[in-house]
Amino acid sequence: MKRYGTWILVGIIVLLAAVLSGVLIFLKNQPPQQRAALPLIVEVKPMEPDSSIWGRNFPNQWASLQKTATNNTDTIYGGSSKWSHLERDPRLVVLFTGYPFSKEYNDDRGHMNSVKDVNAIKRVNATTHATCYSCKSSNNPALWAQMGMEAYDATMFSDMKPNIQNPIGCANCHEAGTMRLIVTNPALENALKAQGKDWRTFTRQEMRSVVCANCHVEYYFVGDKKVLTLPWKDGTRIDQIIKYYDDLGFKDWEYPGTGIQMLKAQHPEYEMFTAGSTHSKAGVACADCHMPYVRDGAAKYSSHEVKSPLLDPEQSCGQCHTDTTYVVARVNEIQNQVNVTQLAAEDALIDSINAIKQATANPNADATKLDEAREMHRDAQFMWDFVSAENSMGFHNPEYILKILADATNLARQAQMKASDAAGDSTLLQVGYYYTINPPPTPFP
Amino acid sequence: MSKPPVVIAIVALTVALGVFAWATNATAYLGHNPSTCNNCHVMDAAYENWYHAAHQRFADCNECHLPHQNIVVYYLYKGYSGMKDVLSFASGSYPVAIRAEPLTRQIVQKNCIRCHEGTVNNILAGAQPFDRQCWDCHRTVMHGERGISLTPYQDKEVYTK
Repeated sequence: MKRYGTWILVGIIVLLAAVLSGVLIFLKNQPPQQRAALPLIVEVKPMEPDSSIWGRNFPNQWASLQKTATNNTDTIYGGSSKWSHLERDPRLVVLFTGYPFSKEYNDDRGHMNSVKDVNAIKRVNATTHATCYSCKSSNNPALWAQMGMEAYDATMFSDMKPNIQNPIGCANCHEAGTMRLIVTNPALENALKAQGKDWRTFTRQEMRSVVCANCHVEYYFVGDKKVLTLPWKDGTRIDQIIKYYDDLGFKDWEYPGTGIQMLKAQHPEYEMFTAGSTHSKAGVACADCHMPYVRDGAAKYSSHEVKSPLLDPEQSCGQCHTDTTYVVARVNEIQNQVNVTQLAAEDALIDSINAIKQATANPNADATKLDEAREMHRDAQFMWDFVSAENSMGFHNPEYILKILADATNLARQAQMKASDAAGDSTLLQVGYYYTINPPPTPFP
Repeated sequence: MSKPPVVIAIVALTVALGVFAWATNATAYLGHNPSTCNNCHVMDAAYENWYHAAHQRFADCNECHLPHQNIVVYYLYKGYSGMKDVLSFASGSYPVAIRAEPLTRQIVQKNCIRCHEGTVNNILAGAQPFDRQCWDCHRTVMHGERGISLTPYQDKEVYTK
C-alpha cells in the first residue's frame, strides 16, 4: 500500500507537470496579444496613400504633419520657404551650366508641398522619367508594389502624373496596422542589401534615422529605364561614393566647352550624419531633433511637423542640452564657417572651369594633362556639391564637412594648375574669375 | 521508498520548470532590456517617455530603479520588485497613476548621485541639510514632461531590438 501511495503521488506530479507544460506550450503558441492602448477608429489598408485616413487614428501626428504645408519660416541658411539658391548665390549658375539645375534651384519646402513643388519646377521636361516622383508621394509604396520599381521608373513623368495625388505622408515611413517604421523605397532596400544589411534587424533607434534615408540620400539613375539607385555598394563615405562613380564611369552631364564629365550630388543628409558625426555617435536619430517628442494637453507624441530644429530649439535641442541659447549660437558659428569655406571652394571651382575651358580651346594643349585636370575637377565639384546639396550647412557633421570642402578646394586649384600646365599658359592661373564675369550670371529661363 | 519514482518526479518537475522558463521567456527578467519591463502594458507611458528623454542613451530602467551596491542586493531587490509588480498586475491592484514608493525613491536618489557625484559633491558636503530629492527640481530629465504616450510603438513584435 505504501508502495502504491508513492507511485500515485509520482503519477499526480507527472500528470500535473505534463498539464502545466501543455498549457504553457499552448499559451506560447497563441498569437501575441494586440496592445489595446489605442482603440483604432478606422482600419487602414496596407500602403494607404491618403494620409488623412491614417490621421483619423492618429489625429495629433496628422495635425502636425499638415503644418508642413504652411510652415514657411526660414533659418539663416535653410528653412522651409522656396527661396532661390541661384539668386542667393549666382556662382551656382556657373557651376551647373549645361545642367537643368542652372535653370531653377529652390530650397525645399515642407513635406506636404512635395507634389505641388515637383510639378512646378522648371527642371522637369518632356524627357523626364517618373523616377523624379520617387521621393515626392505617399502613392509610391502602393505603386511600387503593384508595378515594380523598374516599370515605375521607366514610365514618363507626365504619364505617371495622374497617379500621384498625395504628397509625402504616412505610407512613406509606416506600415499600416503595426505602425512600425519601415523602408518603403526599393532603392534603399537594394542599397542596404548591397552592403549586406537588412533593415528588418535594425533597432528602433536606427529605424528613426533609416526611414529618412528613404529619400534624404545621394542617388543616380541607371540605364535607359532611369532606375533609381543609391551608390552605396562600397560604403556611404564621400571617397567611397566617388570611387563607385569613377569605377562605373558615370556622369550626370558634360560641362559645355570643357569636356568635364560632371557629377551632381543630391541631398546626402543620411550619409553625412552617419559618417561619425558626434550626434550620430551619441545615438541620436534624425527624428530626435527634427521630430521632437512634444506635448499637447496631456498627450505626448512625436511631432510630424518635420522642420529645422533651429526653429524650435527648446523642444529639439533642449531634450539633451540645457543651455539652448548657447547651442543655437554654436550652430550659427559652425554654419557661418562652413558657408564661407563653401564659397571659397566655389570660387576655386569656377577658376578651374575657366582654366579648363581655355585649355580645351587651345589646340596645342597636352591632351593627357588636360584629361587629368578634367578628372580632378569632376571629383572636386562633386565633393563640394556633396556639401552644398546637403541641407544642414555643415551642422550634420562639421569636421567631416570642412574636410570635404578643404579637399574640394585643394583639388580644384590643382585642376586649374594642371590645365595651365597642359596649355603652357600661365594666364590660366587667374584667381577670382567669377568676379570679373560681365554681366554677372543670372539663372536663364 | 524506492528510487525510480523519486527520479521520475524530479525529471517531470525539471521538465515543467524548463518549459515554464522557455514559455514565459523567464531569463529575460534576469537581464536589463527596458522592453522587458515594458512587457506590462501599464509601463507604456513610463517606457515611451523615458525613450524620448535625455537619459535613454545612457541609463536603462535598472540603472536607476535597482540598488547597485552589490550583486546580491541587486538581484534580491530585482526579485522582490519584480514579484511585487507581477502580483499587483495580476490582481489588478496597481494605482492609475503609478508613483515611486519611498524605498524606490531612496534607491533612485542614490543612483542619481552614483553617476552625477562629481557634480553634486559640493551640495552633499554643504552646510545645508540635503533632504530633498534630485527630481524635486529636475522634474523632466528621467521621463520627460508629464503626459501620456499616445503611441506605444515599442511592441517586441514590432521591433525585435
